[in-house]
Amino acid sequence: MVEAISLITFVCLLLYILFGGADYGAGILDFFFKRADRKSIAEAIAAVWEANHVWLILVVVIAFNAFPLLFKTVCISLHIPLTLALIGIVTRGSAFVFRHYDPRDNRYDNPFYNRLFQWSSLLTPFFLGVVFGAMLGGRLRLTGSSSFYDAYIGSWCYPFPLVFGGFLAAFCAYLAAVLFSSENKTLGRSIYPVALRTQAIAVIAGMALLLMPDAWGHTLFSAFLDKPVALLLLGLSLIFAISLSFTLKSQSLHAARILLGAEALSVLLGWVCIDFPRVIHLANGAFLTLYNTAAPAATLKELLIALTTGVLVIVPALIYLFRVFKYKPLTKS
Amino acid sequence: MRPSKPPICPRPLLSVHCVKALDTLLAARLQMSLSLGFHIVFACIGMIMPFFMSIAEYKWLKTRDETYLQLARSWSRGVAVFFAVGAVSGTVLSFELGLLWPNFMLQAGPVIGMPFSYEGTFFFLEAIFLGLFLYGWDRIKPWWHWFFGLMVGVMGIGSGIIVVAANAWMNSPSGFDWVGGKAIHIDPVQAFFNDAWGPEALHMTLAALMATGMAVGGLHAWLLLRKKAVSFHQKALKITVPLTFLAALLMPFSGDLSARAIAKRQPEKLAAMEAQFHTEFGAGLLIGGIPNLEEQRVSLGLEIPGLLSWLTHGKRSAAVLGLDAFPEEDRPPVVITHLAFQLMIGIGTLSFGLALFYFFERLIRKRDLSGSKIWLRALSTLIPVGFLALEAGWTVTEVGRQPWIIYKIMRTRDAVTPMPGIGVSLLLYTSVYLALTIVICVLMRRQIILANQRYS
Repeated sequence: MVEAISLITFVCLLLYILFGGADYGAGILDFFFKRADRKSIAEAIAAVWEANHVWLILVVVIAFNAFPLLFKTVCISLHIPLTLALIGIVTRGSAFVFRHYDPRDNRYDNPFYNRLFQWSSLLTPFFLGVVFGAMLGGRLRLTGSSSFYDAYIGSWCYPFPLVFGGFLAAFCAYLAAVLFSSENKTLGRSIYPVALRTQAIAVIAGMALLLMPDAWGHTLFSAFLDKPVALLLLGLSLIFAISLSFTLKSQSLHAARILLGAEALSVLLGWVCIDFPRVIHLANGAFLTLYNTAAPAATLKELLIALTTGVLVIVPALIYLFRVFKYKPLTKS
Repeated sequence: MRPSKPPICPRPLLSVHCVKALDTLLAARLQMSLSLGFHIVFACIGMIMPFFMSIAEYKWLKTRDETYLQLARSWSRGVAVFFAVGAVSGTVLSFELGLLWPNFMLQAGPVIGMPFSYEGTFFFLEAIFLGLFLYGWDRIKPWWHWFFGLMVGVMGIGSGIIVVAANAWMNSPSGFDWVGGKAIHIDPVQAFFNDAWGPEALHMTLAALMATGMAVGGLHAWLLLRKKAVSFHQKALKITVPLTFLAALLMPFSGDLSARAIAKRQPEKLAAMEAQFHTEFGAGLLIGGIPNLEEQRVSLGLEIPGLLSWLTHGKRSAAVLGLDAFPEEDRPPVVITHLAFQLMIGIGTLSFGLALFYFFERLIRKRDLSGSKIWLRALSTLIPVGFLALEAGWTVTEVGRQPWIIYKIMRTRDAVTPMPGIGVSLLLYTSVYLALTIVICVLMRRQIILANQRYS
């Protein structure tokens, strides 16, 4: 049962990184856009962005339902970066709709909306990445006998989580750049240089993340080296990344989508390979795992039923939503 | 730990020192009430407005009267903004449960997570249908478009009803055994279908309809007084006013149901609501009044003899437990609970009276009130009133449950985060939500001016 719920969580996380990530990325790219591009990107994501972020809510609900101790530990030790990410989420969503629904003609030139939207789009995935990185980094504590700094700041404010955050933000920007450049040819030409830059940044941040030692002096790269399957997945993700840079040039939409999905999937699977079932690396060297934090069987059973019915209705509805807005032509202009 | 200096507080609320010194428990409670109080407004609008829009769209499809289409479309522009803010502030809430009350969530998560997981599904569908509705005007066949709009409302109401189960469980915890500070033998289904859920969900759904209807109808009445876009605003009133007053008419019955349930299950909450300091046979219903804690009595109140006993226990001579029947450390705060309750009851009674008047005029005297200036003025004063009652009601149920976070199981102070300095986070959220409120007001003003210009 733990495995089934973990699998669903994994899928939610993957979809959040892809869809929510592209959405954050669109906001980061907004920094570099001209007015017309801003408007067409905003119109492209307006109908779907709300649904793209519900994946995060599902992950949280699963966390406190099925793995309550994981949720509690993260909520206490990583209170500060989580709060910052939440403020980012609120600011970002609000700035986006405010800009979209302000009846004034110059709304896409309004520096107030633009700055808020851009900075919150950058900082939210950064802090979410910091949270994720800190869970793996090995400085989280269960008991509160330490100083304020150790318990609430030192738990995340060191190179490994910060690089993780940087990588996630860069990856989001790259995701969006690839998707939007292949979706819309005219837009593609104008964001091609930006896409190349985000690609370079994402690659550098990825390298840095692989080689950055965690609290124990271990690097992710050495962890990948220890497991042949993980190493294979890492290699695959590298191949996907290289192929992606070709699709960026040829602007083929389907290839870009499939490759992006494969890229994110192989990276996440690589992480599962080296870490499953461990989720949090504690400062005392112990681990919080999916098994030692799991809720009682009765809870897991009900959750699994709820999630299965949920997925069965959500997925077709979501596919229909995307079909309507990405493929269906307007009935009247 | 070092002994901390007593806070020196020359100008409370302004001094950073005071924010830091603010007691963690109080700061966490304030932040939670701010977040809930903020979110609930947007959530209610997201639950109710889709129905108003669906009615307007239905009339457009049936009569081909352009005004209805304009109405549906301009409402949908407002709803898009409110729904988005509601969604992000709801995301914040789901995290805040853990950020502020980690020990509560550690035990409660596995027991009461089930409604949250179904609510998640409903909310997901609501977001999908909303996307189809808001942006699908030109892409989806008209009747399908109408159906998707209706489904936004159905999913919204559904998720609201389901998530109230979690709050109801905090008032009437069930579905587990509490042994040594831990929840064991968990039965999520029994926890989901707890005793308080029915009355609370009914009360909340009616309140959402009443509050949203009053705000929207009031706004249109106010604009109608300005004599611009007359037909547009009149049609808006035709849709919103009957439903709003229908809810107002049903409200006292739902309130009565809730009060009886509370009298049975949480007598100390009822005592605080009524400022009933002492146990009394044939207790009177108190109207107004300011509780005097030192003398344990109420000043300036009007009491109707025997009514409270009759309302809660069906007998005029029945005993109503007073606060003195409970140990001091288990009593809820009286002043806030009582005043909030009085505010809610006052508004409820007033609305009930208005509803009676409205239906009398409409159905018996067959008069159309939308031409009457006094009536329109009355409606426009209602703009904030419904939401005021809603916030007051939540204050009653939440403050009235104190000092417990899970009634008679876990105290709020045992649930709070060990992290100091929540005052800083409170300040941060307060400024963000304040700024959002201001921007939303400005935006709505611009939208209204635009609609008035377009449709007059």
